[in-house]
Amino acid sequence: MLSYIVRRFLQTIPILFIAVTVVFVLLSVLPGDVALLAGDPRIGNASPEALQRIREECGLNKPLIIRYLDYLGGLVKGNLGFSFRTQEYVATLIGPRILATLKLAIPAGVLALSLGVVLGSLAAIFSGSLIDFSLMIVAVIGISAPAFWLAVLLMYFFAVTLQLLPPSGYGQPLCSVLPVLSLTIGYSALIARTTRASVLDVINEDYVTTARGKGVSEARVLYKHVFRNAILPIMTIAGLEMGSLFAGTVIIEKVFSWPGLGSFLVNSVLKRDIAAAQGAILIYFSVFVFINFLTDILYVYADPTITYE
Amino acid sequence: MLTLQSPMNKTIARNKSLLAGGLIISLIILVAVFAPFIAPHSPLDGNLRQSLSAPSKTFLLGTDRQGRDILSRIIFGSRIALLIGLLTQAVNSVIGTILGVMAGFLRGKTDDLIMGVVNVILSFPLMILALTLMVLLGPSLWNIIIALGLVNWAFTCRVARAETLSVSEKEFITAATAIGVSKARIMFRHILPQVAGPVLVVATLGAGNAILIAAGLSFLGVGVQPPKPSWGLMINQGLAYIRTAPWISLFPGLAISILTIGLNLLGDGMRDVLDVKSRAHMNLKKED
Repeated sequence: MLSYIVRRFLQTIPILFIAVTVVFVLLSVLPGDVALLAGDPRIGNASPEALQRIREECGLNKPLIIRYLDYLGGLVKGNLGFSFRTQEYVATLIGPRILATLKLAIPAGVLALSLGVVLGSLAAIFSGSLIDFSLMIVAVIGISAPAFWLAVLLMYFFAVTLQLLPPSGYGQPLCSVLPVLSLTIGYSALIARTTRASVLDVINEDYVTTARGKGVSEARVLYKHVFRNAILPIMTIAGLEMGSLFAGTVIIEKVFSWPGLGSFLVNSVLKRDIAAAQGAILIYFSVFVFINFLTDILYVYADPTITYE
Repeated sequence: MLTLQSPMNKTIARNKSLLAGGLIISLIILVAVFAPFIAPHSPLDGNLRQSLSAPSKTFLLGTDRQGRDILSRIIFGSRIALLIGLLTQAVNSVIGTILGVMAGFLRGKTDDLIMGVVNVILSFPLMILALTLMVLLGPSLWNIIIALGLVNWAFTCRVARAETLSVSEKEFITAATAIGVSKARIMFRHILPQVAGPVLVVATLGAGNAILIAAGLSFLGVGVQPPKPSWGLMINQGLAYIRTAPWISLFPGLAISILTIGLNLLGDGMRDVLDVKSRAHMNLKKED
């Protein structure tokens, strides 16, 4: 088992290496380089000499390959680059942002998973009933409606009309209710649909009928025979969706002005702070890759038929 | 009897979703095509004296800060959404199908290379990939189409490859190879038509996703730029007036939701009809 984990972990390294390379190359060929940015009229007019000086300070006069190697070298030491716009190291800026994003992503992930699995199983157990039908209608709407619009809707209803919850803010626990809910809805709908389909796949299997015929209690049948077998496809989808839930915080943070990694990324992009944007994008990619890695490991634990040789 | 009945029930239920989805999408296409005749006002010119008017007889869904009619903007915005859905999926389907058929039919190194790229793309969240490309390309409608066209084909490619693998086993392909038909001709004349159905299902479901991501990018300010009546952008513009003029944000979001619900229902229905076909196909083969 340990050797499988190590091997699977090593597989993430080339993927991350490709991510770093692609992000660096794509964003380094941008026409608006840092020096031009610093000469942006909104910042103040810089003389050509000053521009040249800024370029040298940023190391922008070096060839691309050297800058790339410098960047890689920095990454190994945990240096995500230097943001010239804010005159700070990107890693310093990003640290608290990641924490803020996790405060949304983790509760939303846990809620989406548990709600999705419970509601999806209910729909499957009462397949064809009114419960099933209404749950699945709600699920289609939850999957189709844009999360940021649901967020606006929730904000309008709970913060503006009912005035039960704060429309935005950060720090108090109540502030995170609306953003967490807006993230949860779409993903719990997706997981509910997958759960329903995988439970329905096994619920009519012969071994389930046999178990019932033997007089095993219904709860035990569902738990031991149905759910245990339905869980694998659910895990595959859930793993993928948890990754994209983390990425989905980008938009939700914008709605609620949540000071997380997503609003940091969007602000950096809008201000053309390329080093900061690069750092944030790499964090998103790494988290996504890491969640996929975790899913694969859990998958092996959950499925005794997989031999990890 | 029970086991016989349940798949039939399923088929009927899902055909309903095909009908409902088809109806919704046809209506939206009609609205987009006849937008200039349906829209009661101009989508771009507003009267500042009418700024932030609540829904009324003149402005059914109210107006925005510049006094532009929300309904007319939503009607014209359908063109942007459909354009994004259609073009990104056209690009995705072409790239994904060609590469998928090549990977599945040629196998070997071609397969390894193509699937390697596919796995790398699938290792990253689509939203962030698209955002990265938008940073590079700059914000505009056409750049959204380019960005989403370039990154969203991996799933199509997987499906096309899987279909090709199973089609390649069939006798007519073996026969074609035996009489010396060229590989290119086999791929494009014999395999491609077989792969088209599943690819169409993926494209329909993917169109909904592409429209959602495009709306998200426009909402963030890195997508479609003002004054274009993009639905995502309209939600963004209304956010500041959520207390005084909630209609600015609420109605465009409803429009996005209806369109994606339509596409999802249509895609689910199509998948089911195609499944039924293949099941009938298999039954026939068994009787042979």
